This record gives sequence, structure tokens and C-alpha cells, in this order.
Amino acid sequence: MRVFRSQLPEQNQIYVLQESEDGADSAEDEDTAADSNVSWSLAENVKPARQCAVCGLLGGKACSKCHHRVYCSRGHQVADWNAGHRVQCGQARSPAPEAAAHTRKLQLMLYPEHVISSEEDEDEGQQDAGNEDEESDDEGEDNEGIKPESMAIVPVTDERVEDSEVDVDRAFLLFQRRIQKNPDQVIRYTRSSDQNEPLFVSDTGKPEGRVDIPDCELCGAAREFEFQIMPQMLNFLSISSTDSASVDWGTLLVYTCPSNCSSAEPAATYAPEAICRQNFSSHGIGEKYVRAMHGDDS
Amino acid sequence: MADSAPADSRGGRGGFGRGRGTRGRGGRGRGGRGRGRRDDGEQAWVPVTKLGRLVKDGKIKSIEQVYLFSLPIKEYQIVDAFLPKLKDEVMKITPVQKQTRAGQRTRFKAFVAIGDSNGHVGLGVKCAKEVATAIRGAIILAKLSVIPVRRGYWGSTLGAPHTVPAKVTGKCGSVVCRLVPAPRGTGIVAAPTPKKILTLAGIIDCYTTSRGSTKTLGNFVKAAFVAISNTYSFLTPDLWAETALTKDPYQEFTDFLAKEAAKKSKY
Repeated sequence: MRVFRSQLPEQNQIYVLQESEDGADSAEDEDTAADSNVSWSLAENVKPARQCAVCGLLGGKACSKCHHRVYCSRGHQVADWNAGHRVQCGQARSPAPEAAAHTRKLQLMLYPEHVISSEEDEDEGQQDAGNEDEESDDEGEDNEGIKPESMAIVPVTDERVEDSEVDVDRAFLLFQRRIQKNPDQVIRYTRSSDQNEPLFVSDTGKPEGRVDIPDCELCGAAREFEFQIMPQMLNFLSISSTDSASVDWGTLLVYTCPSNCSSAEPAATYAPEAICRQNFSSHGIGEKYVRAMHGDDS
Repeated sequence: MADSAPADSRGGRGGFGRGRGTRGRGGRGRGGRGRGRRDDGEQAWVPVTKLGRLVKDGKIKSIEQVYLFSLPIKEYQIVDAFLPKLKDEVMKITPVQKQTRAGQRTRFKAFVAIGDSNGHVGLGVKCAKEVATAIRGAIILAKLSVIPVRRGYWGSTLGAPHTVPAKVTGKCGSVVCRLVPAPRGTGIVAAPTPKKILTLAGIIDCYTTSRGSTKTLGNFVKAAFVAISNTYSFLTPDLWAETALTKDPYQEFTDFLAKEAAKKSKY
């Protein structure tokens, strides 16, 4: 599993910022003005690279007949040929329904596209206090018969004060509680370096120090946690869950160089970073059932 | 995110300025509105584990199938999906106090028993600063501790099983709770506390005997729960015969479960 970083500074030689003329309308909200009127376009002397017709990566090889469509690999060339290029290679324009079917077939080969919207994760402490105030009012109506008994102190003789134990490991329960507020989150990104503790899904398998997270190869700085990909992402990628060889993870943690360094030569624009995978532990309910069925009384 | 709603409503005017650069903002508004709460106050479940995804898609039919191949269940929503008719009952809420430098810190401890009156029962205990949080947490813990109950006959094996299969006992702290098979029509002869759990478990007739400080509800209810969970660990003569593992080759999902079992057996 590899991860690469490719980034450009805001002032660069490839894209230029273009302000649109809509300045009058956006006087009300400066924030919106800054975001909605900005657009980027390529600088004049930059020629965009040709992209593979199937996946959008760099297209190095062209179709040998028409030289119009380029591909990144032989596999995609064959796939595009079968999906519909075979009929319309060499022709100027193909009829609309066939072109639509062609693009649909190509889309089926890729993961589905979604929009990621980003929101801030509320601070746990404040959020709990806020929510509990509202919800205890609601719950009060449902449980009118249940009132805590008179304020007698429970004798601490036999009774243990802790919660009941369950088979599921504690780290997973905390993880589930944290994502409950936004169950469909797919990426957790940390912007500041004082909050860079990732949300682990189990106690085992946490990446350790320099062994799992090597230092940056280019500048030697110790890598820091930047973002993690959550397992909910697998729901949206329409991966077949029944195939036991399909990809599955607990969480993918990406550690990057804190100084965002890049190598000296201008051609090298991809910098490798470190990625760690943490799987779920095998604790869970059901183990007790199996043990009970097999006569183990523990 | 107060500015995301007005930004959307001005979409018509700023229409041509909204190109690639504004996709993010539109998405944010969409996400905020679409992520609304359903009527029961909970948000839709997005499964996290592979088993959760299979269950949400409806590929696995019953919880016994999962237990048979000993796949761990980590999400309580899976139990919810298999047993939709689970009824929860709050048995007691007590305040518990701890002495701190700044006075006393009071928390509330909630005991919740959950069951479908047809062979599955769970017990959850949670301590929290507010009553509602304690109850909610206890319900989740109860769902995560759901256990199957084996029922049997007192005399003739005519009709559905109605009582415990044998005399079972459970102990917690100083409380010992013993369940004894009873003939049909007896009902549950027990103190109110274990009676609630036995009803939720689906046991129709039962004699019980208890000993120890049954006033401590926590230990009493846990002892009854342990006794019920021992019904499946009791070896009766009808379990002597060896059962062969059957696998239906035409169901691809049973296949997946079997592959998981094979992987596990390689350890």
C-alpha cells in the first residue's frame, strides 16, 4: 500500500488566479465572495498532458488507428475498445445513445464518484453537554415512572459500580461513540499539529514510532499524522462485500512530512508518504455464544 | 455553518460565477440538509465492519448463522437488524455517589434488560452523569450482551419448549439463583426481578430459588442472567450425537461465512 503527495503552492507557474467581475453582488458576505468568485485557469504557455480516456491518469499510448484516444495502459485500451470504441474508431462523431452507453460502461470500471463535504468535528466535551440538556427533557416524558430513588447512597458492600462488561473491546466502543454524531464520515482530517491524535479502532495494531512511520526521505523530519480514511468509505465504493478477497480495513492512517517538502528537480512532483493500516480486533459478541454452545463455562 | 444556507438560496444570481470553485460549498450545504435526523431521533446506520455491510444489505438471514461460524459482532446495530422485536425494560435507576474534594459527585446507574420473548435476552448496566445517558448507554450494552436461551420440556415433548431444559444455577457476588424446570401452566414462580428477565427470555414456566443478599439488585439480576446463559452450556443426552457441519453450496453468502470459518480454523 503506497501513498503519494502532490501539491502546488498557491503562487505557481501552472495555474493562475482569475477574479470574475461579479464583485458588486457579493458585498453582503465577504466569505462567499472570496470563495465563489475565484476560478483558476491554466497559464498561457502550459500545455495540459493528455489523459487516459478511461481513468484520467497520464495517457502515454494512443490508439493506433485514429490516434485520438490515449490510454495509460494496455488493459484500459482493451477495455475501451470493447466498451464501444471499436464501433466509432475513425468516425467523426458517434450517435448520442451509443456514446452515452459507452461512457456508462467506462464508468462501471471505476469507483463511483461522490462529493466530499467537509465540516468541523465538534469538540467532544462541549457537544456532550449541549446534547444532553435537550435530550434529557425528551426522555423525561417517556420515563415518567422511572425516577431515581430517593437520594440514599447505595451501600458499596457487594455491588460493583462499573458498567457491565461486554465482549466488544473498549477502543471500538469509544470509536463508535465518536462517529455516532456523523455516521457517514469518510475522512478525518486534522489541521493543527496539537490535535494530531488519530481515532483508533482497536487497541492492537497501533503504528509505533519510527518503525511503522519512517521519517521523510527528502528532508529527514519525523512524519506527523495528517488524515485518516474511515471504513465507511467502503460503503460508498460499491465493493462486493461477499468476496473474501475484497479490500477491507479498520482505518487507514496517513502520515506526512510536516514541512511539505518537495525534491529539488522541478520534474519530480510526487513525494512518497507513509500509510498505516489498522484492522479491527477480533473481539465481539458471539464468542461467548460459541463457547457456551461448546460447553465452556468461562 | 450559518452561511451555507443563504449561499445556496442565492444560487440563481451568482449562477455563472459558480463553476468548479464553488462545488465544495454547494456540497457542504447539501450535506448539511441531507444529513437530517429521522423521526426516531437517530441517524441512519452506516456500517463500519464487513459483517455490518453484509447485514445491512440483507445478505445474512439470521443471527444464528453468524454465531455458527463464530464471526464477532462488533456493532450493536447488527443485533438490532436481526432481532427487530427486542423490548427493553429499565429495571432500576439508582444514584451512586462518590466523595470528592469538592463535595459529592452523583452519577446514575441504570439497569436495562432487553429481550424478544423468544429465546434472546441481554442485560446492560451503565453509570453516567445523567439519567437519559445512562439509560441509552445501558440499552446499547444490553444489545451487545444478547445471549441465546435454550428452552426445553418438563415432561412430554409435546408442543413448543416452554421451560428450562435442566436445573441451572448462576452466581454473582453472594446471590445464587437457581432455575428449575416446571410443568406447563405453572407460570414463572420467582421474585419480580428475575421474573422480568425470564419473561423477556421467553421462558414460560419455571420454578426459582434464590439465596444471598438479593436486595442488591445488581447482583441478583446478574445471577439470574448467568443462570439463563448456562442453559446452552448444559450437556443433555439429546446433544450426545455428533452433528455434521452442513453447507449449502448454492448460497454464495454461506460460502463466504464458511471461508471465514476455514480461515479461522487454520490458526
